[in-house]
Amino acid sequence: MSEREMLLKRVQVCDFALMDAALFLDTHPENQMALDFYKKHLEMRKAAVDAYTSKYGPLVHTDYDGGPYWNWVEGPWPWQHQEEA
Amino acid sequence: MWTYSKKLQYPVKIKNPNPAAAKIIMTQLGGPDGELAASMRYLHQRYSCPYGEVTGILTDIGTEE
Repeated sequence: MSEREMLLKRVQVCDFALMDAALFLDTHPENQMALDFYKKHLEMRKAAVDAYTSKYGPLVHTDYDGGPYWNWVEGPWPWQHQEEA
Repeated sequence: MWTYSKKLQYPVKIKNPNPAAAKIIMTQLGGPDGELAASMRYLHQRYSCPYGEVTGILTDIGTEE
Protein backbone atom coordinates (compact mmCIF):
# COMPACT_ATOMS: atom_id res chain seq x y z
CA MET A 1 0.00 0.00 0.00
CA SER A 2 1.42 3.38 -1.01
CA GLU A 3 1.70 6.23 1.47
CA ARG A 4 -1.08 8.02 -0.35
CA GLU A 5 -3.40 5.04 0.00
CA MET A 6 -2.49 4.68 3.66
CA LEU A 7 -3.22 8.32 4.48
CA LEU A 8 -6.47 8.16 2.51
CA LYS A 9 -7.48 4.99 4.35
CA ARG A 10 -7.11 6.85 7.64
CA VAL A 11 -9.58 9.48 6.48
CA GLN A 12 -11.94 6.77 5.23
CA VAL A 13 -11.79 4.85 8.51
CA CYS A 14 -12.56 8.02 10.49
CA ASP A 15 -15.38 9.02 8.15
CA PHE A 16 -16.95 5.58 8.40
CA ALA A 17 -16.77 5.62 12.20
CA LEU A 18 -18.23 9.15 12.30
CA MET A 19 -21.07 8.26 9.91
CA ASP A 20 -22.00 5.23 11.99
CA ALA A 21 -21.78 7.14 15.27
CA ALA A 22 -23.93 9.92 13.77
CA LEU A 23 -26.66 7.41 12.90
CA PHE A 24 -26.67 6.24 16.53
CA LEU A 25 -26.52 9.78 17.92
CA ASP A 26 -29.50 10.85 15.79
CA THR A 27 -31.67 8.75 18.10
CA HIS A 28 -29.45 8.83 21.23
CA PRO A 29 -28.39 12.50 21.43
CA GLU A 30 -27.32 12.35 25.09
CA ASN A 31 -25.29 9.16 25.05
CA GLN A 32 -21.96 10.25 26.50
CA MET A 33 -20.06 7.22 25.27
CA ALA A 34 -21.20 7.85 21.71
CA LEU A 35 -20.43 11.57 22.02
CA ASP A 36 -16.91 10.79 23.24
CA PHE A 37 -16.46 8.30 20.41
CA TYR A 38 -17.58 10.92 17.90
CA LYS A 39 -15.31 13.59 19.36
CA LYS A 40 -12.27 11.29 19.34
CA HIS A 41 -12.78 10.29 15.71
CA LEU A 42 -13.50 13.86 14.67
CA GLU A 43 -10.08 14.90 15.98
CA MET A 44 -8.44 11.90 14.32
CA ARG A 45 -10.19 12.79 11.07
CA LYS A 46 -8.96 16.38 11.16
CA ALA A 47 -5.36 15.20 11.58
CA ALA A 48 -5.78 12.59 8.84
CA VAL A 49 -7.27 15.12 6.39
CA ASP A 50 -4.47 17.61 7.09
CA ALA A 51 -1.85 14.92 6.53
CA TYR A 52 -3.44 13.80 3.26
CA THR A 53 -4.29 17.16 1.72
CA SER A 54 -0.93 18.75 2.50
CA LYS A 55 0.77 16.07 0.37
CA TYR A 56 -1.74 14.79 -2.16
CA GLY A 57 -4.12 17.66 -2.83
CA PRO A 58 -7.73 18.42 -1.96
CA LEU A 59 -10.41 15.91 -0.97
CA VAL A 60 -13.08 18.60 -1.36
CA HIS A 61 -12.48 21.80 -3.32
CA THR A 62 -12.57 23.86 -0.12
CA ASP A 63 -9.31 22.11 0.83
CA TYR A 64 -7.67 24.59 -1.59
CA ASP A 65 -4.26 25.50 -0.16
CA GLY A 66 -4.24 29.15 -1.29
CA GLY A 67 -1.42 28.53 -3.77
CA PRO A 68 -1.06 29.81 -7.36
CA TYR A 69 -2.62 26.71 -8.99
CA TRP A 70 -6.09 25.11 -8.86
CA ASN A 71 -5.32 21.37 -8.60
CA TRP A 72 -8.85 20.17 -7.85
CA VAL A 73 -9.41 18.57 -11.27
CA GLU A 74 -6.14 16.62 -11.21
CA GLY A 75 -6.32 12.81 -11.05
CA PRO A 76 -6.32 10.21 -9.92
CA TRP A 77 -10.07 10.20 -9.39
CA PRO A 78 -11.33 7.68 -6.84
CA TRP A 79 -12.35 5.20 -9.55
CA GLN A 80 -9.02 5.34 -11.41
CA HIS A 81 -6.00 3.13 -10.95
CA GLN A 82 -2.82 5.03 -10.20
CA GLU A 83 -1.27 4.15 -13.57
CA GLU A 84 -4.11 5.45 -15.75
CA ALA A 85 -4.32 8.83 -14.03
CA MET B 1 -18.70 10.64 -2.08
CA TRP B 2 -21.25 13.26 -1.07
CA THR B 3 -22.11 14.95 2.18
CA TYR B 4 -25.18 16.84 3.34
CA SER B 5 -24.95 20.46 4.54
CA LYS B 6 -27.77 21.72 6.72
CA LYS B 7 -28.26 24.94 4.78
CA LEU B 8 -29.76 26.18 1.55
CA GLN B 9 -27.50 27.02 -1.36
CA TYR B 10 -29.40 30.29 -1.76
CA PRO B 11 -31.75 31.92 0.74
CA VAL B 12 -35.45 31.39 0.01
CA LYS B 13 -38.15 33.77 1.14
CA ILE B 14 -41.67 32.94 -0.04
CA LYS B 15 -43.91 36.02 0.06
CA ASN B 16 -46.99 34.53 -1.64
CA PRO B 17 -47.46 30.74 -1.30
CA ASN B 18 -48.49 29.31 -4.69
CA PRO B 19 -49.29 25.56 -4.76
CA ALA B 20 -49.50 25.42 -8.57
CA ALA B 21 -46.04 26.94 -8.96
CA ALA B 22 -44.74 24.71 -6.16
CA LYS B 23 -45.92 21.64 -8.08
CA ILE B 24 -43.99 22.73 -11.18
CA ILE B 25 -40.88 23.46 -9.12
CA MET B 26 -41.04 20.07 -7.38
CA THR B 27 -41.25 18.39 -10.80
CA GLN B 28 -38.34 20.47 -12.01
CA LEU B 29 -36.37 19.18 -9.00
CA GLY B 30 -37.24 15.49 -8.87
CA GLY B 31 -39.18 14.81 -12.07
CA PRO B 32 -38.08 12.88 -15.16
CA ASP B 33 -36.23 15.85 -16.69
CA GLY B 34 -35.43 17.47 -13.38
CA GLU B 35 -32.27 18.51 -11.59
CA LEU B 36 -31.79 15.20 -9.82
CA ALA B 37 -31.97 13.20 -13.06
CA ALA B 38 -29.59 15.65 -14.76
CA SER B 39 -27.13 15.45 -11.86
CA MET B 40 -27.05 11.65 -12.16
CA ARG B 41 -26.34 11.94 -15.89
CA TYR B 42 -23.43 14.33 -15.29
CA LEU B 43 -22.00 12.09 -12.61
CA HIS B 44 -22.20 9.00 -14.82
CA GLN B 45 -20.90 10.62 -18.00
CA ARG B 46 -17.74 11.73 -16.23
CA TYR B 47 -16.58 8.11 -15.88
CA SER B 48 -16.00 7.83 -19.62
CA CYS B 49 -14.61 11.31 -20.03
CA PRO B 50 -11.05 11.47 -21.41
CA TYR B 51 -10.09 14.93 -20.08
CA GLY B 52 -9.33 15.59 -16.43
CA GLU B 53 -10.69 19.12 -16.39
CA VAL B 54 -13.97 17.96 -17.98
CA THR B 55 -14.22 15.12 -15.45
CA GLY B 56 -13.72 17.80 -12.81
CA ILE B 57 -16.40 20.13 -14.11
CA LEU B 58 -18.91 17.30 -14.65
CA THR B 59 -18.27 16.31 -11.03
CA ASP B 60 -18.81 19.86 -9.83
CA ILE B 61 -21.92 20.52 -11.96
CA GLY B 62 -23.44 17.19 -10.92
CA THR B 63 -22.69 18.04 -7.31
CA GLU B 64 -24.13 21.52 -7.63
CA GLU B 65 -27.40 20.24 -9.17
